[in-house]
Amino acid sequence: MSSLAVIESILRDRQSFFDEIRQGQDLKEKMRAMLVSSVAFLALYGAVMGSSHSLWQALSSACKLPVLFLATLVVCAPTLYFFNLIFGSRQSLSQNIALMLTAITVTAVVLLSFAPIVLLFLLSSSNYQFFKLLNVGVFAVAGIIGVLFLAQGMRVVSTSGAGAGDARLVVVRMWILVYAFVGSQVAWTLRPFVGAPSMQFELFRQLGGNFYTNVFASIGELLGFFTVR
Amino acid sequence: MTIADALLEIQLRLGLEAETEHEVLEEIRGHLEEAVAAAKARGLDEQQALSEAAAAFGMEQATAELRETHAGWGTLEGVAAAALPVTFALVLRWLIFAPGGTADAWRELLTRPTLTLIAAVAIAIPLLRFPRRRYALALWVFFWGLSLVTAVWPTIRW
Repeated sequence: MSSLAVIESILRDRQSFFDEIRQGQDLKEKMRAMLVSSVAFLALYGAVMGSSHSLWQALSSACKLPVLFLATLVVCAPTLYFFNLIFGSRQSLSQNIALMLTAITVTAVVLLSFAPIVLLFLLSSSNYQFFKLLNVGVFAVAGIIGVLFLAQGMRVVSTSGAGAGDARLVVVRMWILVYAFVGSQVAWTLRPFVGAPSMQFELFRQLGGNFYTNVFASIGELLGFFTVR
Repeated sequence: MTIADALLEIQLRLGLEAETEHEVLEEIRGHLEEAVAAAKARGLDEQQALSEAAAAFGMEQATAELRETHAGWGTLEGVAAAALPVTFALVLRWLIFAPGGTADAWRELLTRPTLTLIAAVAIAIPLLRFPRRRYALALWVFFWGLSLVTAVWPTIRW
């Protein structure tokens, strides 16, 4: 099964795709295809992000963006698995990872679809804070769509029964919370992805601060309240 | 059962993108009509001819093979439309116009014929290699033009 056929199956016929995951059908092939396509799409989007700074930043971001998503998956997979177990699921760890990879694949596809738009702003605008916030917005949209697919996948894959719907909703909400916090922290650890124009290229920055304060600072500077150093 | 019924049955199992599905069904229609005409010429009636044509075509297996063959084509179009122009624009930006890793060399494009030649080849290759990817090519030409404008317009900063 080719990577693109798997993506088409997820986007066009997701019910059948999730049914196959529930039955454990071709799990390894599906996971491999999703992994390959996700890495390729995320790398391309990362290259666009980093291209606002330098060639080295473009290459660095192309490598770091897939690592960000895969590291977050690896860190969060046991949490989702045990949450599911606690709330009565019969899914295996592989099925959980396949579901998470589905969400990441959808996120990667949405990011890829936004790549031409981000490139347009990269070519026609030079405002660093705006470009950074544009990317935050794009990631938020892509992440929400990915999570919606995850929720839908869990509805299909989870075993049905009395109270299963409520339990699933609790698991999805808790897991989204964990995933968002872990993801933002991993992203902050792996920064920079865009690269401040006033700074030299760095593979990683020193630890300190956090993602949320940086986003609020960027909004403040964009609105003219203060200047971020 | 008519040829239209047989095609409807195949269509339900194909699950392809509308445009691809239409092309595939038209091709199958052509095969079935030829086979039915040949069977009729041998003296079979309409129903017998169609049954024989359908059996020879191997409806279930052929449909599965067609589905397998064409699966992912629609996504490939979408991925090509997004990924190809972006990839080529980045290649132009970093590997062709500015081999030093900065945007400074872009402004020298018009005074450096070798770079101009390479840039022209870079746009010609996708045009020649991907004739079916018309949306990707349109977007690529747009980005190429925009890159060029910003490169030769010194007042615009990157």
